[in-house]
Amino acid sequence: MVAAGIDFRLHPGERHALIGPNGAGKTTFVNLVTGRLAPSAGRVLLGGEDVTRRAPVERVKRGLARTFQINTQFMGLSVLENVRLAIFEREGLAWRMFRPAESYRAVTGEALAALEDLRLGPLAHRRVDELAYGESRMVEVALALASRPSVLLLDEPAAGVPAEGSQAILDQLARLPAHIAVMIIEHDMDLVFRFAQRVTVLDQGRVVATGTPAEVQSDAHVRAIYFGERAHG
Amino acid sequence: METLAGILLNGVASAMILYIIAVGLSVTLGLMKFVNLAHCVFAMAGGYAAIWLLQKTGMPFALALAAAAILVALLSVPVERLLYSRLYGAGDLDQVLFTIGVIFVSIALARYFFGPSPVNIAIPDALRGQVDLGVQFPAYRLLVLAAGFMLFAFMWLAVEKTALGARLRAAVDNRRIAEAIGVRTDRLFTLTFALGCGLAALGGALGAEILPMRPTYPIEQLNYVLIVVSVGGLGTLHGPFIAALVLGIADTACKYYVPEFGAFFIFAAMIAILLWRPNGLFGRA
Amino acid sequence: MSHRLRVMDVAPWAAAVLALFVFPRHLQLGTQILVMVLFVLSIDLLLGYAGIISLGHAAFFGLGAYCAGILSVRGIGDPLVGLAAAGALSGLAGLLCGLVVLRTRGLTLLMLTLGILLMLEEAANRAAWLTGGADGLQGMQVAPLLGLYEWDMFGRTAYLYSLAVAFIGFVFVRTLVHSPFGRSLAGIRENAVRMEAIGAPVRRRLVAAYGLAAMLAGIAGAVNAQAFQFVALNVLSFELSGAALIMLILGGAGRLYGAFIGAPLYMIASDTFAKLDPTYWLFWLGMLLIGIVMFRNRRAR
Repeated sequence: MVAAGIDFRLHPGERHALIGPNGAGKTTFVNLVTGRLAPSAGRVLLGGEDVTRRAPVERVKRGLARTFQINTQFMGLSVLENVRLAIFEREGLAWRMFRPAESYRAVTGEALAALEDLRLGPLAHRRVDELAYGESRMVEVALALASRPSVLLLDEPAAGVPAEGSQAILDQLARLPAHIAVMIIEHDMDLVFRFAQRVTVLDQGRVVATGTPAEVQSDAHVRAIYFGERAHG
Repeated sequence: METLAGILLNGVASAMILYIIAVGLSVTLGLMKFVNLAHCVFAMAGGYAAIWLLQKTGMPFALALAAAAILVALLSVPVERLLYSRLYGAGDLDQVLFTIGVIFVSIALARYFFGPSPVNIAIPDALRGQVDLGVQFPAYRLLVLAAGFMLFAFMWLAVEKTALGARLRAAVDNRRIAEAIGVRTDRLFTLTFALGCGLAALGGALGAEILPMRPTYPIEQLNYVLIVVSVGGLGTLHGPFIAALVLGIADTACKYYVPEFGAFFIFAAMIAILLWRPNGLFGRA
Repeated sequence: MSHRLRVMDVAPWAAAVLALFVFPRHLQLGTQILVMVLFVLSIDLLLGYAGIISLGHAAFFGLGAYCAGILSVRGIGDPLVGLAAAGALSGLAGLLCGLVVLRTRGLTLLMLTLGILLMLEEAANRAAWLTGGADGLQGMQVAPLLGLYEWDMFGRTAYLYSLAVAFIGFVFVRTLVHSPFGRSLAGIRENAVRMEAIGAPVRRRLVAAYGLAAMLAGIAGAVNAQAFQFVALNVLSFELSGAALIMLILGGAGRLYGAFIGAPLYMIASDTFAKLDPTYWLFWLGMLLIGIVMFRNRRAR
């Protein structure tokens, strides 16, 4: 049993962090929410609608977007192309067969603006597999944002990024549109405490504590779990 | 009733040949995940080797078969070490193209050394007659039948009961974990590949009476062998056995009862089965 | 690769037109090359862009060939009608096959595509009353092109016909590849998981690509049938699928140019050497394939 008895609520515009030791089931939780995994019991509700039986693609259309813990992008394509693909899908233009993709100026314009917003503008025409790791982590976020989600799930956006890079990422996360509900999985406690309004702690597939960062930090149970983990972060 | 028995017996005999050739492919595909379309090249090599040995030396039939199988198995080792092993991680397309190349080279070599026409194998006089099993049945095919079953039983025991078999099964299930507990997978691969090729050679030689040797053999038999392997499921011994039985009997029956459709139903059935069970009847995911 | 027209895009076609005047006695080979260029383009779309490896694409080539051929035997001789019918039939067949086959991956997918080809070949072989069986389709009566141009015995009409169709096919594929649809195929090929995560219905796109590639293959087959006024059983052979794959790999997949390099190279080499010594040709072709693949994988595993 990887996850059990999780009753989790994410409110509009909320900034929520999901933390827990390795193997606690955080990514599994994200996969359940996005539909890559099917729950053996329970429901997933998106904006009040029961989407438990809906395929991941349909949940994306209903405003749910995610990033991946490991960089999952279109490596051989440019950053601009990556984002453009997401916009084409969103706008239902991906079936068009007779005009070059570049000629859709509105799409290209929006993609460039989105990249500018995330300080990725200068990298627009570089291939994704040529970027520094921290830069491509931001492309992950750009891809997810291009779907104009109302709910955004970020799976360890700063994972593996050196300190200056993760600061830049944190700055961008702070500037995310206010109406999007954002749930972030993180190990970096600094980031968690600066970013989150509420925190949920998972351990061995169960919710151990939930509340404001201060409440969670002083929770005895949580401290017990993390006592041995502190050295590893 | 007589024809039914005849169809069954002939079907099972062809099935056994098919099985002996195909089982090596099923195991290597399951183990190395390598799409070896050139598997039947080794069967052809075994057939030609046996024919050549029988003609040049006067050795007994059974010995010639065994020698041919061992010869091909030995030859397969440098081929695997130098060529195949570099492509285990390569994409499907590269593996397919490589094996097509091997097929072409082998057809050319076969044509060069043995000529373009079918060559028959000289089976011993003792086996040329018919046996009365209620219905007249060629003695040689009876031998083939028995050989197939015995081989299956022998391999089953070897894999299920021996340490080598256990290592093989572990590596098929999960290569990384097997390596982590100390199984030398690259040596295992070479050994398994050699075994698979040796079996294919044995099948080719044993079946040369039913399926004569010709340069285009690797392509002609490829269809049926692939069907047996994909329908039976990868990485098992019994999967291709059952698939070969079903295919052999159904093919013989179709050729007898509905010759105007030929192998059409076989292919249609294969498609249907693969859609129902994409991993084959007994395959693992 | 930019969508703007460059010299490289136009040059092969200019060369093909020139060839009409420079090699007037080799128009038959030229026609064959053009047909193969179109067929290989369809496989490039399938393999190089959508990333689907199929061993059985010749099924649609053959389907188109027999469609156009049988129509002309039965009295519907106008080549453009035959062409349209062949394209429609194979496109539809491609969509159906795609729906069925693209639920699987890897070896199973390979086997299914091969199985469909084998099934069709066997059917064509047995239904001799319709297809002529192993002897080939006899009695094709192809009407003059556009009602004006007779099929001359030098093969000029056939050559220009196949040149025109191949060119239109190329323009179609080129447009498709640069369009949002084509870009989404590239995305699927690069990372299907990510495409799903941005809301792309991956399987539906692949089925559409499959259908389009099938349609193009069928058109190539129809042109082949009409240009040579004959359909042999080998239009449904594994050898044809294999040869086309080889042509694509020789020229390079995923860039559209592969067809223009690989098809003429293979066809001319095959025509020259296979006539001299088929065994020699087969041997060296096999060695070349092995060499190419080993070279591409030369780094230690």
